[in-house]
Amino acid sequence: MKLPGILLLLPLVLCGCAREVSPVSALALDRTDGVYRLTAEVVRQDSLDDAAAPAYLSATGDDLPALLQNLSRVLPGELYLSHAQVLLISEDVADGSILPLADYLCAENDVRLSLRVAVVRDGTATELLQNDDEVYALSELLDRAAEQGTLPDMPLYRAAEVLHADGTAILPALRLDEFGQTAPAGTAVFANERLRGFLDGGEIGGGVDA
Amino acid sequence: MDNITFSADLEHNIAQMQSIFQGDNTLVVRRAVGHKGLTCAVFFFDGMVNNIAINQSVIRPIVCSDLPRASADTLCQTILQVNDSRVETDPAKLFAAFLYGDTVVFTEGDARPVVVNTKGFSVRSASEPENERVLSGPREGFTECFMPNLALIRRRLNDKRLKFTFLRIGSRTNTVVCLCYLDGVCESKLVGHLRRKLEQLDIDSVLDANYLAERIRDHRFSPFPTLGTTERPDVVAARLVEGRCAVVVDGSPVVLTAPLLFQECFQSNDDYYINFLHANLSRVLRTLGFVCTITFPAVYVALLLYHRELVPARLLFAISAAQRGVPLPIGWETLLLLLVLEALKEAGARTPGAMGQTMSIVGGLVLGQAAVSARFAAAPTVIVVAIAGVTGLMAPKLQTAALWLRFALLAAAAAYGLYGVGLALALVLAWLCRMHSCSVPYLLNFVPRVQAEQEDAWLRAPWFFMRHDRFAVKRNLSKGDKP
Repeated sequence: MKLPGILLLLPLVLCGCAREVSPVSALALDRTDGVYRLTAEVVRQDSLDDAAAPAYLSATGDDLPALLQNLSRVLPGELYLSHAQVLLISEDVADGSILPLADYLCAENDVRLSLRVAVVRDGTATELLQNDDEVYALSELLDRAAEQGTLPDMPLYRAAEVLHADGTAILPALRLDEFGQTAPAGTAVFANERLRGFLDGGEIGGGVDA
Repeated sequence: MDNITFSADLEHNIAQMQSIFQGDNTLVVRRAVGHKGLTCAVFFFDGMVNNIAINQSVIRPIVCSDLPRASADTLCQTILQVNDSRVETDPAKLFAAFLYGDTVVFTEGDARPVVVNTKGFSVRSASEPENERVLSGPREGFTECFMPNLALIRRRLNDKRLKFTFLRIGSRTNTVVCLCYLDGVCESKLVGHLRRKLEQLDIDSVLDANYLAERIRDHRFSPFPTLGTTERPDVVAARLVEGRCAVVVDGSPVVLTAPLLFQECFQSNDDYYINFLHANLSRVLRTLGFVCTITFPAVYVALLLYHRELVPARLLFAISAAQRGVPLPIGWETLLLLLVLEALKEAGARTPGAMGQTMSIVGGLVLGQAAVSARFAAAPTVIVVAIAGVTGLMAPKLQTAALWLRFALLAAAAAYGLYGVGLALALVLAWLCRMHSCSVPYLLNFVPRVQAEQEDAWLRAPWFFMRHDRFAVKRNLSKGDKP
């Protein structure tokens, strides 16, 4: 009976190596002077009595793998993208080809294929990300808008699929309105994998919000 | 004692008995002399006999007898006024009866002793068993007294086919064991199988039914029970009607029944005494409770160690917050809390009366709260372990299995995540599939290939749908088995 007992308990020794995680709820990608900047909205909750609150950490790099690697260095725990629900990209980023970005995210194990990608108009993605101090506020806004038809329902896997097909795609657009609030801003139109312009709500037959 | 011989000389027989039981101060020897010179010696053990019966039915008739001499047969047939007396020439049977509370009477001029049934030791009443209480239904339970236990069974089964076969087991205790079955309903192979197993036992003492159960059961090292146990006569009667055998052990209120099917582990006495809709809901809950108690801690550990993406985001954040500052990894933390739970259960069970309950509750609450406050354990882990503990009580017959499987699955989860849990459960299922109880497949009625009757398997059909011969296990003995 000794051996089965030891074998039974031995696996428990292996389970001590799990690190504390830093769950990311949203990401913002900007490009300034050819350098990318990735900002992560990391969820922090210190105790059961506290509410989950966002904290923002940024890293720069030349491409997305380097950005994620640099970002993981500044995080207190393991970079954890499984619960990330929104990726904001600025117009500068969207002006370049977004297919490699979509492919990389699709291939990344941690990232959910239901991640919503949105383009930020008239400002930086980081600015818009940091505008809300509530976790998942952006994803809830995008979900609701997609349900109402005011913004396109275009999760990551679908965007990658249509970009692969003929290089065209539409993505939801967001902006900070005159009151400093995050608001839907129509649809970003991509051709040849690059941003070609925006359509407002009337043009896409959507609701009054756009 | 087999070599003991008695003579026609009464004094010699008295000396013989006294020498055999030398040093035993409970032995009482009473000489009784009649009007006309009939001389007898009465032997019994103080405390084991009914004194009134001895005084009125044994001593008085001898003292009042008008005969100058009497043989053992005359004594037995015309003098003693007792309903159960016999001349016993086999020393082994004589002493077995004598040691069990019967009175032995020798008469002058006859070497043969008379055994008179005067058993009168104190017994407790047939109260409801503590661990098999029912909401409605019979309240009687077996006691430690052998014959009244058999009477409780016979009272419920007024069938001439009901058989009670006695055996004696234990070289020291010489315990009476009774094999009960309904002739014609119970498969004769099954009766023979059990009888052979009991007869082949070479042990010195049988102080409880479990002494036999662990020896005669199939799959002795399995945590799943393969012999049924109950303290309720109505349950034994029901199982006998279904074609099973029962083993009643003298001195134990627990009666063994065989074969035991896996489905019985989720059945409760109440199932048959309350409305079938209510009973079935309870049965489903019990099944889910067992699944929950073995898998809940394991799945919790697996999710937090390997599959965090499966946990809803806000729940994950809350659990991560609770885990912050806890020094132990989640697997060890859960293991230690499960051990604390078992320690509390053990302490509660061993502490007498209401104090045990108080200790369990206070211990659980205080320790749990203190452990969370001191960051020794996370609150979600305490909740998971508490749920595992509570649901573990829902299927009491599977408590041993639940205990071991809980730890085994936890280890599998800690090492391999949900894949490990799945693999371990598959192994358990495979093990259950190859188990049998007295040659009857353990998963009978659960597995389609060995399906027999479904009226009382996962769910209980209403009584008006039940066939009278349901569960007759005789049809399901595996081919090729040699019970």
